[in-house]
Amino acid sequence: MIAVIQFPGSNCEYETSRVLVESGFESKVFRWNQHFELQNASPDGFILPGGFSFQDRVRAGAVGAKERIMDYIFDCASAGKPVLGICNGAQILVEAGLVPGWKTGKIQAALAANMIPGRTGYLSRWVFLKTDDESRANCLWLSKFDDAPIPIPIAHAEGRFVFSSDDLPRCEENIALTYCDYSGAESDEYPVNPNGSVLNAAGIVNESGNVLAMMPHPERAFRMWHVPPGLEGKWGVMRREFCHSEAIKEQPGPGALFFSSLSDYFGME
Amino acid sequence: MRTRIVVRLKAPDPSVATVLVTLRRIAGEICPEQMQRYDGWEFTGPGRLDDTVLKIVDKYDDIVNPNKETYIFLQEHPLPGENPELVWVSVFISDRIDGSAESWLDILQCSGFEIDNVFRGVLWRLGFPEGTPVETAAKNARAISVTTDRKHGLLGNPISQEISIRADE
Repeated sequence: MIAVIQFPGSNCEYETSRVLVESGFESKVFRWNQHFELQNASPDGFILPGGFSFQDRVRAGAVGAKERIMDYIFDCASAGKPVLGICNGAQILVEAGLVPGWKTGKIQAALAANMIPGRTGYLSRWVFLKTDDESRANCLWLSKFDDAPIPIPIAHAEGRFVFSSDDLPRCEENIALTYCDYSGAESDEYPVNPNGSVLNAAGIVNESGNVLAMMPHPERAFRMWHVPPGLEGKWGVMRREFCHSEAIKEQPGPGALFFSSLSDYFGME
Repeated sequence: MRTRIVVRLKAPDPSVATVLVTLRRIAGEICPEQMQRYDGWEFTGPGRLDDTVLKIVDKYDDIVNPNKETYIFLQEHPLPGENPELVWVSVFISDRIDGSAESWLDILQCSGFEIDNVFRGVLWRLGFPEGTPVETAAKNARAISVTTDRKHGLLGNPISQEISIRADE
């Protein structure tokens, strides 16, 4: 069973749970104050969904990271159970020191306010992501990916990964997902890099490869019909081919790769 | 010249309530007795800026929304509403790279205001129990403010933010 944690202000918990079920998992949503129930259920993995936990008071993810339920998730993550943080969930994992996790529990990264020339604040759009061989081998959430970039939506105001200057040389190994264009070419300029994230980082993984914090929303790209038909690249072409076909209802989208990777990890496929 | 204003909600600030509840749980022994939270703005430019800042505040309700917020020019402590018996410490937190301050500078300069720079942040005022030595109050404020690991610190993330701490004289 995969637990989806609902903090006050989470707003993606039910669709995240639904895509888990559609991927073949048992899934249950636990509220942030159900730490005893969560422990008794002993889930096999955890997803911290998107939203605005505690209304982003103080700093996105800062208060959620201090909640008691994170003690148990911290222990399970340290024991190797899969943990995925999506958007606000990623902010909580960063503030809890689970990623990059060079020294587990210590704060060694930040998700700062977007840095976009000429504008500030919240940004919602489709972007492209890619992984590399090393990330696919190391991170259990990425095993089903190949070299092709995938389109996926982002929706955040504080999504710019930041590391201290001392840590910049080693953070590259923990960057599992990078922003790119439809062809896979990277650029540190908007809109390819939509928030000014260091080294175009869209997701970072811990050393053990079981905890992934990512700003894009895979649950919003789970079905082919989620993908906008106008996108460039392989997924855009596939989407347009299904434009007038009933078969589109059953076609998985690019975000499904994260969940099929999890299935693969548990030997379900 | 430099002019600073601090902006606060007229109603009780829910961020303060959330922070106090969290701090009492994770750092009860050093938790302040009272807290206040303000948006801090600093404007620099030629000459006295008070009149310019009054015009800016009057024009842009993104800075001060008069329906729900109030502001004062920051000159001396304690601030209005603070219990003078407590030992107060100011914690000012700002992003190391602040795109919104740059945007505000562009907006104000394009609107004809003679402003050289805009600096933004959050001012937390921490009131420690009466009789707390000033050094102890400053030390506790630092422990509360600088997030070092998942159990310690809350108000600022030193990886991306500047955290400045100063106890009232």
